[in-house]
Amino acid sequence: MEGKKLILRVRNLSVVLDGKKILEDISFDLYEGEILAVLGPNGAGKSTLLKAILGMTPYTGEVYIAPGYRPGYIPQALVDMGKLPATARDVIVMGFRGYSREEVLEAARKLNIESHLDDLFVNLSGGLKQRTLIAKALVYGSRILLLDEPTSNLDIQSQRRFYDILKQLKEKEKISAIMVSHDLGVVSSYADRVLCLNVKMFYHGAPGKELNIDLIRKVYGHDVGVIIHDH
Amino acid sequence: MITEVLIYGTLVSIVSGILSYFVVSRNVEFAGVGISHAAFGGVAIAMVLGVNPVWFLLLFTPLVGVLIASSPKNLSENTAIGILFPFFMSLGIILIYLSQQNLSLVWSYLFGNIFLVGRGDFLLFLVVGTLVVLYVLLFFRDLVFSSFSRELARAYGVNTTFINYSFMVVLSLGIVVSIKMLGIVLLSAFLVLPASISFLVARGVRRSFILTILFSVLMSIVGIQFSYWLDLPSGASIVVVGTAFYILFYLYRRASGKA
Ligand SMILES: Nc1ncnc2c1ncn2[C@@H]1O[C@H](COP(=O)(O)OP(=O)(O)OP(=O)(O)O)[C@@H](O)[C@H]1O
Ligand SMILES: [Mg+2]
Repeated sequence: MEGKKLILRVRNLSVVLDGKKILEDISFDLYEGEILAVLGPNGAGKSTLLKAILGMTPYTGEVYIAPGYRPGYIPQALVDMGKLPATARDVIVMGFRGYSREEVLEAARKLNIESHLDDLFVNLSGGLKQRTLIAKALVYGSRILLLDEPTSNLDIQSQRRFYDILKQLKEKEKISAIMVSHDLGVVSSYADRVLCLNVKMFYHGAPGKELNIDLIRKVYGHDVGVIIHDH
Repeated sequence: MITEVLIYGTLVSIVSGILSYFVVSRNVEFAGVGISHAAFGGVAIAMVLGVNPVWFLLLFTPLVGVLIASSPKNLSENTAIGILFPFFMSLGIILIYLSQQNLSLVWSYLFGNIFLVGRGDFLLFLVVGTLVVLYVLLFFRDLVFSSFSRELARAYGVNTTFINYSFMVVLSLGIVVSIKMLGIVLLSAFLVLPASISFLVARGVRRSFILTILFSVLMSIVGIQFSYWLDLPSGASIVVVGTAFYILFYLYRRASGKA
């Protein structure tokens, strides 16, 4: 990791909700310009991990975020949306102050959503909604994107577009991301590091040889069939 | 006389229009209905105790609002409202029945009459209305953001718990000072109609906010004029006019192919 800046450090993070252990003793690092994939079965605590990092859920342990690297959040789905007739532009700047029109346009350009800025957010496709929320994170000044299953509701073309954008942000702007995913193939081709968890941490490291079938079986339980694609 | 009433009506409808915007966008219409109806219990308690109902409501209604907002996770807000609202209404009915209250006074709280609004009511409205407007100005961004999505707002650092509780309290206060004009029964329509009409036709946060206030003022002025000319109850006239607006704009939207 020579020369790379540590921007997020998580140590011994545990979350207990309603007396139930949701996460136990999670530790990992995230460096600038890196993508960390989080793998694990349903109910493993992946979304909870993102929420703990964002301070939305009480936890014990340490979460250190380097100054100026405020995280931006792209949730699994916006299920709690009210009836506000907000446009994509409204959503991008919602809750913020001191942004400029140019900043919004620049972020929209990076995400390729300029022509949708005045559309109603609710009417946008899943892919466009997601890109709008990433643009929001950029306007916020986020340098870490917390992406919760960003591609699970996207068709194949939107998925490809999403990964292209993620790659560009990473390479051109050194933006980092923690991405919850269920797609092992994608993980091995886009992630720099992988975190496998199911309440406890099972693996943290490069998406290389150790991320094999045995490990996946251990994390997900014994009777899963695993097909490893070549990417 | 009518000019005074129109001025009062305009000011009240600005305040309730502002509240309507957040009531509808936060999906808490039923809370608006519940709080205003629970206020009936408060009116009855105040009458039995022999204290000024409006002053009593200024304490009582925010408590109901907080009670609703603090309903535990496994009990949905709507369930809490559905239990509290008939309970306080029934309590009111029992108290009024037992204490043989003057029914025309009860009637005026239930259905409102803007032509009976006194100077004291007006002054109280000015104070509370200013508070409501200041609160909304101060927390506009957070209110809008948490109305859009509580989860996202929380992720971006908005204290959504504070916003949720404070809005319920402010809404309750706004309801209390509007009761004399609109009445408990019809007030909830006033909290729902302006924003609902606006959301039919407007796009964008700022535009829909301004339109909500405009619709609110318009329906109350037109409604008051009708009630004056035809000697009808003011609250009911306003609600009928507002509903007519809603239907008109709904049809307009259908016709223009947006629905
Ligand atoms: N507020 C809460 N109170 C109590 N338990 C909760 C709460 N939120 C989540 N849980 C529980 O925590 C566990 C982990 O949930 P989480 O949403 O983090 O899983 P996940 O790995 O993201 O799953 P999925 O793949 O289905 O999205 C689940 O068993 C869930 O029921
Ligand atoms: Mg999840």
